[in-house]
Amino acid sequence: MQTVSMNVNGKSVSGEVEDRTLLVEFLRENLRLTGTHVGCDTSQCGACVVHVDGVSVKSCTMLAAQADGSDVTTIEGLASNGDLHPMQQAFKDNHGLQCGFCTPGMVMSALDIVNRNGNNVDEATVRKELEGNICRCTGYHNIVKAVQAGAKNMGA
Amino acid sequence: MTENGIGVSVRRKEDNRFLTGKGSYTDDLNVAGQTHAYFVRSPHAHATLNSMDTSAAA
Amino acid sequence: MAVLTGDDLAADGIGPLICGVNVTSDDGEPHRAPVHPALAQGKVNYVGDHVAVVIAESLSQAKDAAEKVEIDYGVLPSVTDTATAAADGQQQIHDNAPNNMCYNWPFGDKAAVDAVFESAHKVSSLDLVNNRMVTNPMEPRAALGDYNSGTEEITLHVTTQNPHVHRLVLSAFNQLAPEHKLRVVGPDVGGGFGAKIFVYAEELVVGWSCRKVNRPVKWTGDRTEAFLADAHGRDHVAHAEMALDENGKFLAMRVNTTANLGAYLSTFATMVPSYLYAFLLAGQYSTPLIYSEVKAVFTNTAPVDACRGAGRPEATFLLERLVDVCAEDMGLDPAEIRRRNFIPVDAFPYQTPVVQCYDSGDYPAALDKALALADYDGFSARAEEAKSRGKRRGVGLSFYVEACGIAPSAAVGQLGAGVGLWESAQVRFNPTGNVQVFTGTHSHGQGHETTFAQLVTEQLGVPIENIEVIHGDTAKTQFGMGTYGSRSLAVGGVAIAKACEKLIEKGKKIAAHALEAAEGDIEFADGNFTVAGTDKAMNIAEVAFNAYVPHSYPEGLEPGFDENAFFDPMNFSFPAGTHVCEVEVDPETGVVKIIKYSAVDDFGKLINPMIVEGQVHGGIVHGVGQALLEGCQYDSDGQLITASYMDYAMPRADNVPSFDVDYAPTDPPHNPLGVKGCGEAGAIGAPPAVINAITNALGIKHIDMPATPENVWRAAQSAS
Repeated sequence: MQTVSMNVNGKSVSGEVEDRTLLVEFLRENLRLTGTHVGCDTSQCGACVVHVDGVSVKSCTMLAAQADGSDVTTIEGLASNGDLHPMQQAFKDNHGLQCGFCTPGMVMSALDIVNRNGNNVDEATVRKELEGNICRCTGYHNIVKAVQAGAKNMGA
Repeated sequence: MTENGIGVSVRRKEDNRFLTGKGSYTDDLNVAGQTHAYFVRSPHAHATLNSMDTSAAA
Repeated sequence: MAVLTGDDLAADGIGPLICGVNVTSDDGEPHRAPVHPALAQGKVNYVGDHVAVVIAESLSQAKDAAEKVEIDYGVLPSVTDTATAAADGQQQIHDNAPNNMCYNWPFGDKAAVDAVFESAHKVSSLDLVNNRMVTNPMEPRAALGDYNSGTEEITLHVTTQNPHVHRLVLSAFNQLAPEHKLRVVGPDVGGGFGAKIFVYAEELVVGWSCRKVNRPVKWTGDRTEAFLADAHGRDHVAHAEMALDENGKFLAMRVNTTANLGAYLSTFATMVPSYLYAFLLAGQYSTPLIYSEVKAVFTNTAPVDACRGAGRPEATFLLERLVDVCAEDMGLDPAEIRRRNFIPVDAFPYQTPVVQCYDSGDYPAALDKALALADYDGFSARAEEAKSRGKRRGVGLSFYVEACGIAPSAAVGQLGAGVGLWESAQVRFNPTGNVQVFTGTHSHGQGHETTFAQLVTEQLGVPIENIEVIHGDTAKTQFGMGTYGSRSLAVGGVAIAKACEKLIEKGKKIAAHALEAAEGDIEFADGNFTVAGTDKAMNIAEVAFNAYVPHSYPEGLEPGFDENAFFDPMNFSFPAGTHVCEVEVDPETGVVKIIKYSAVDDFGKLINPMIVEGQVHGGIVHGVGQALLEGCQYDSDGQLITASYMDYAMPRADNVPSFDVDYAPTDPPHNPLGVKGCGEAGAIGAPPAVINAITNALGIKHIDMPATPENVWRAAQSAS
């Protein structure tokens, strides 16, 4: 066991973890931040995407110990004062979610896409960059629309 | 037709909880004193179970 | 720490898992149903079969302990191949299922069909496989059991599409607990697509073991377990033939199908390749005679049951592939041969030769609209242009009819179902005027909380923000049969509407008393009860308040403003549609790119078009996944070699384009809301549309799914 400390959604947190504890387990089990989901065991589905020091990370692929001292943002950290983040709002406006299970990872990946590709990211780029996030419900059509709309709104 | 009635593409009432990580799926639930189950599964497609010794595990 | 086995289950009198639908085999006997213990007793029959459960303080402790369970297996030869599972000399899996047969189920007049084939102008035929799929909702299955020794009640939170069905089955057939001492909650559920209809071993074991160890027990499956032990879908091998006259009219169809049911029968397994398959083989055509024979077999693979569409995608894929072969054989355009065989618009309600009586449809209208949307006329120019770049363009059409709104109880009872398939609703005003709607359906992505609220705001005039839809908890909702078979709106929505009607009727009595008018003079619109011809009015919220504070109230009328309703549909509903897929194939690499996909569907009336369109998109990609990417593979030893997302290719955002979706609605006369259901349509329409496009591009008769680059490349090589 070891103690890890990090800043999660603007709050300093620390906890006791095993060496093998994954970041997603630390978030879900220790911090009870259950918005970050686990949809697979091979780092394929992207339901667990969070940001570590501003970069998207599959939190099932990182040990909690590796995130020691980092700034972590999860889906719970996006809305402020009850207002949805523009990307969250775009998912709602464009019906970019159905069952909601892949949604946190999709939104966190979407933000990373915008960070790297700007506010006018095109459809082909969005589709290519979402390759690491699997959704079974939406057929991606409305997710892609939402990411593009969210990207625009973030620049407005 | 009323404002949010039949035929209108009303934005979903359920979305806010899912978009903010406040959905409540089964694995998100925890109750005091809970234990965890793990299933031992067959590695074979077709086999007789001749014997099982659980003493080392229990 | 505890390790529990099948012997412990048996000692506690917990019953085996059951299948609830009877299919009578051709020998007059019921289908063969092997005993399916939730934890193995003496034998295991597929990789992933449940042998024991370890219960520990933490998941990692439980996993570590599971490694220490020593088991001596006597490995037997296994059977995995669908086509040969019932062959002579095969390894027998279950003592009570000779030749690994579950049933052989013929339907139709074989002699009459054979006679037509004897004298037909032309017979077109096709052998095909409907590839096995793993359903793969993104949330893996999970269960949390909590036993209260004071009340002797078990609360089971579980990933279910139908909490009341779970409670009923677990209580009546597994003897887990009496129904009134078992609460089943399906909280937010991350997608179902059929896989979460069924009552699984893990759920029963969690419910039982939490009482046994007198501690709450939680189990969350990982993705590998989902691949191994969720019920899979499809897995047919079939031979299909069509007899045609000289004008390309279909005279008779003959289909021989072998369906793999896996090692044991899942909850509804028997009905998927029978009633949900053979009864849909007429499609949109007026084929007068159909004969189908379905052989359902056991193999050493995970149980197979309903997966989005359930039987209807298999029927549609077979029929629409066969019709394309017919078109080729007759030298007709694929659209033209369909036009010649459509059920005429004036023939509805239309009795098919395979039991179903279609409610309404206008198939030519959907076709015309779809061809325009797809710019079908411009295809040859686009194909030429692609050819100049060394690519091959193809266009594929598919036409489907599905039976949804499941189901009229009397009809399914006659077929052998153990349940009625009505739905129930409760619409409750609170004294302060807001409304709680309790439905027995379950939303796991479909957006019921919105769609059902729209129904209620339309009918009762209460602002939508004052309406809450509640589902998924047997302790809250009166009863229900859950969500599958595109039934929630067509059955559950009608129950809600009926409860609203009852409230309006009662409200008229209360308003008449308060407004000092005759009940017959009270009209209701937009949330207000008014005295006809006057400006005297009362809002429904005030009426509700009066009903709970009945100080001045009609004599003899019950207080309260809260109504229940049940609805049992008179028929299935029959959504239909035309899907058009245009692909570009790179013959050098075998990569298939979907250039354009157009769908025109008849779902009847749309309540929330945004949600409906989303359902269509998702269904299409589920179907594209089956057509191009997804294929569940067992090796000859029964090892599942596609047990992760590394090996089983799920459709991803860059595998598909955006879609063009439109509607050609008709009005189903038997459904009070005029709705049909939309959740499965895409998964039914897409596979034949995609494969028909590929065969068109390559000029080949057939290619099996999934049409992976390797398979397509090989086909392109052999065609050129």
